[in-house]
Amino acid sequence: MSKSTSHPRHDVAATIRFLDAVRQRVATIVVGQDVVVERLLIALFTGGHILLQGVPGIAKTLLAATLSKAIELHFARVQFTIDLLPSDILGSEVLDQRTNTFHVLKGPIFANLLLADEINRAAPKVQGALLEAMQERKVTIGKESFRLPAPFLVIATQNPIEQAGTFELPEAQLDRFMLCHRLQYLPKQDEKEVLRRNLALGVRREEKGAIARTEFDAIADQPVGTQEDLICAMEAVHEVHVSDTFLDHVVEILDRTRKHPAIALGCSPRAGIALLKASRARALIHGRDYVVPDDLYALAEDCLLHRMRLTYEALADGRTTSGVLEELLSELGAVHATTAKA
Amino acid sequence: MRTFAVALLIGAAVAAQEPVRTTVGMPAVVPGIVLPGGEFEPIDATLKSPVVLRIEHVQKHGTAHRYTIQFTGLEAGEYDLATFLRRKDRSDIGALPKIPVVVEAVRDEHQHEPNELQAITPPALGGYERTMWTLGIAWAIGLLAILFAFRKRAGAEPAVARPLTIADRLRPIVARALEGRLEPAGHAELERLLLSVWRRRLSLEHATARDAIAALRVHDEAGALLRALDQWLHAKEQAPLDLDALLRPYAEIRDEGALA
Repeated sequence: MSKSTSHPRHDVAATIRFLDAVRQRVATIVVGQDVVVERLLIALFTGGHILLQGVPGIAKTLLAATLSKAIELHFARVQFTIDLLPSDILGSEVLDQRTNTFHVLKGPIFANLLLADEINRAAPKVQGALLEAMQERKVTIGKESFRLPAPFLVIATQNPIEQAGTFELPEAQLDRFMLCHRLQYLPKQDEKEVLRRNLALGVRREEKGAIARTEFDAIADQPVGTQEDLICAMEAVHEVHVSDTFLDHVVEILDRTRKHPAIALGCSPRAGIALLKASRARALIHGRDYVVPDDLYALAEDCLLHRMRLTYEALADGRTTSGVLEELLSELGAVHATTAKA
Repeated sequence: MRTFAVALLIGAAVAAQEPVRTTVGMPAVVPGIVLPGGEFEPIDATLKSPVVLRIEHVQKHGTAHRYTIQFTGLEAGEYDLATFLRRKDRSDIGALPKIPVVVEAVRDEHQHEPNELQAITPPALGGYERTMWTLGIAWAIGLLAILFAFRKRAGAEPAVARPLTIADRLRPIVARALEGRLEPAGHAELERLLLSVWRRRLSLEHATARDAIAALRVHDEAGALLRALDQWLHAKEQAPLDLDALLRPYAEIRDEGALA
């Protein structure tokens, strides 16, 4: 149950206007993907991190770049590779030969929005360094600790198809991502619109030459919202009402993931917290000041699926995690295993 | 001189042997007796001979012979079998080593009658047919007991367990809600059950939960129900709600699949 705070009530209408402006700005560059935009906003408003699973070329980077420019956020992108070092992300101390002293060179993690592209291609120590920074929101370089900027959001991506030469994120590290969204290919109509827009991009003159314009060139530099708007939205999320009934729904789902015979590893309490936070943000995005079961059903897959592991028997039977989760959600109102005396 | 030395050596070897023991009437064998000189044979036995013996086997052993002698003691006592031998050519037997045997009495010293035979229980012979009949009857009784004696009476049969349907679970919860006795923890279950009822009514069981609830939202009756539930169970500020009108249609629900 949400508790009333001493802060003044935020202007929900203004927050909705801000959200609509951001979504419209993103829509001018990225076609379709409304659900992904919603998930990114949810992560942004709740201070969580998001893992995007999808094949290359479905506008993951473009989406993050567009979002960062729409809200005036400092954006950084790191392409994860096998030879990446933790210092390449976090930063390091470098020797200034003039003064013969060390000074800190901050890494790309010091951004509001960090895109960790293909996170599963880096060695576990790099993944661990990033995920630890994500959790603690501070970085230690040499003997000095630095707080990461606020807001701070990591958008990590991984390709679910190509697994050769990758290091799968362990369950404990996956658990740190509040959301794991699986991107799909666009519907035909949207894909046609993508192609049509690309045809209209033209070329860009540069000094004495020219280069073909990309979608990145089309992103407007003028933001539609400020960081203050974002902070207001974050505060508004915390004022969204959560009923006891909704809490019971969440607890019931978590409990079922732990008791289902096909599931070897159920959801942690952190999964429940993530589901609750995300539901609040979704309620706000949909213009409500209270959460409803629709939020839970819409977000369950993104919040819970990457935290569940099936048993070997279930895998051998060809069952999938999403199938089992859907069974759990459907079973919420379905017949229990209890029996009645006729 | 040489024969004499051999006889002494053999005699010493035989004397070192333990006497062979047996009881009256029971034959015993003394193997490997080497006697010097020509071959020996038993002397003729008489009715008064305390020991009767025969030579089972004989073979040459240098200038001597090796004997296997079987004897049967007829009277208890210690005997020297050499005294019951003679040379086949009836020549002088010379100095023979002793062949000591002991014949022991089974009876007491002054007992003249044989020992009483001990009674031994003979093994059970025959009766197989009777055994088979007994087992057959026992098996038949057991079968009849299973068929009749232990058969559950029709009136006392336990109820067949069947899973609770959604309607079965919904009715008591709705009844408690209408009476104002529904505990807060029951609200969530009530909502889930009502969602399930409508999923089944609109044949949305195979749709994902997300798609199903989206479809319910746009349905006239289900959508109105969900909005009312939102106001009742989830809204920050509850609007006035006619709970009776909302839940009464589900108070007597029997088949959740039937359209209202």
